[in-house]
Amino acid sequence: MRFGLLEDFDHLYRYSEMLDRLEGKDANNILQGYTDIVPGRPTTDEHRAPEDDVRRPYQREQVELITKLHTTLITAAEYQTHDYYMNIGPLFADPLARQLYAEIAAIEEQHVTQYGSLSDPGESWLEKLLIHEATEAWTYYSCVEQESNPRLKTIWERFLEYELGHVAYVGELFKKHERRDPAEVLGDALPGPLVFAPQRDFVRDVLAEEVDLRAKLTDYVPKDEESRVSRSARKVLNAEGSPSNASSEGYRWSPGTELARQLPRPRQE
Amino acid sequence: MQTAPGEGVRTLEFSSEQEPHPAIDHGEAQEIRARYFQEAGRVGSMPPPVTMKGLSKTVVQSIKGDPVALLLDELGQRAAFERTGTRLYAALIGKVAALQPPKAESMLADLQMIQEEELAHFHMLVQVINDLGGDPTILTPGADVSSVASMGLLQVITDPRTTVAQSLEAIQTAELTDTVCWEALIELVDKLDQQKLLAPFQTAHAAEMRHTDTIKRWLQTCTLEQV
Repeated sequence: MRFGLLEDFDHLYRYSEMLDRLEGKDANNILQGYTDIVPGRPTTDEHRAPEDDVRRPYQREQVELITKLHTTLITAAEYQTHDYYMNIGPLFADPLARQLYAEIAAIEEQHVTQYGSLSDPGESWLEKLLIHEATEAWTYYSCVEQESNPRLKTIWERFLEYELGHVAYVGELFKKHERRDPAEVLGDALPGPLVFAPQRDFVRDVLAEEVDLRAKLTDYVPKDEESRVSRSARKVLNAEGSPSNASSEGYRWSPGTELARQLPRPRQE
Repeated sequence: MQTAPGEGVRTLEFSSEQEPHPAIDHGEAQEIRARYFQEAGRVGSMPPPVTMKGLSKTVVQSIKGDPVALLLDELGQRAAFERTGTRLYAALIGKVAALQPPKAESMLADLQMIQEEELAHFHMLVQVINDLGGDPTILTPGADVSSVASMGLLQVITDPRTTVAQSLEAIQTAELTDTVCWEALIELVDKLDQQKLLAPFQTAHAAEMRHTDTIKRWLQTCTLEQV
């Protein structure tokens, strides 16, 4: 998960730049100080050969339920992000914004492959469906637990109930068609909620230690050991430059957009 | 920044520690955009008019497509603008009626009158396009572009969360644009020797100027009400 984290973290920086330079808006009005806005693993370096995007799947009988929930959740998030960029990118008139969305969408497609391949292919379709429904219930439960807005909280509560209904329904199908006990997959209780909180220090640590990691088949390796095919694929993809690099050239986030920075800010000792 | 002082400062500090910022330089980005500007086609195109029956001698004599197409494009743009304007006023009237700000009745009477005039302008332009042998149902390139420019206005006015004052400000943007575009259209028809269009277009322009005055007054009233 940390590998993709640094890549999506870089996308956040690139989109913040686009918001500032294209529309004159400060990304921190959305982010509100919960995260840093700095480069991660550069988007231009994230393009890989397909064989370097596939990971080793978890073993369904050997891992905790939480691992399956994480895998399903992050795969769904990557699908959604990819679909969003593919749909929204072309709505921009600006050529560079369209290019940036297209470039980042290509990375999200890699992420879908990377995280989708973590699921055990030995799971039956009904077993996967059961995990999907449990993931939805668990995510709504996490929202219910932490939502402070009462109006929204009631929405999360209602959807949690819907999803628990789906879990029960699929559980019945699982018993009927596979003659297996849903508890064999789900256990008897959902894990603790996903924590929605700033993760700044964790991200900084990962950034400092792992930004130069690259992928080689199913492994993560130092930059200089990256596979030849990925380097070659990237060279082809970046042959005419990279929209993410071109658009964010020299960009450093400042409060109120880079136009609000009158002079280069001296580094404080 | 002031609502999250601690975290905001940490974001700023870390951002400042990154590579020193050179002068704001969009060199490569500008080059990419420049290539597109140079290579792009235009937005839409004008179909040729079916007949030339309504065109003056000047236009027919100079017919190489351009003046005819230009005039019909401009007329189509105004027609579309007035048509959308009618809908913008419908949305605003619905909002005022629902929210009942101070002096709502008087404001509604003014807005309804303006809406009727926008609709009348649309109908008049349809007639003019028909008379010139054009097709008033097409979306001309100019109409297409101005509808893109107006998208934000519709978003503001139809948003249930926006106030009457905020919606009036949005509709004033449309009125000011409409006023100057009528002026330009009048100059064009004069140059193309379409004298019979001058009087109705000048009447429409005068009406648009009244609209901007009326909206300005209501905008001031609504803004001062909040003080």
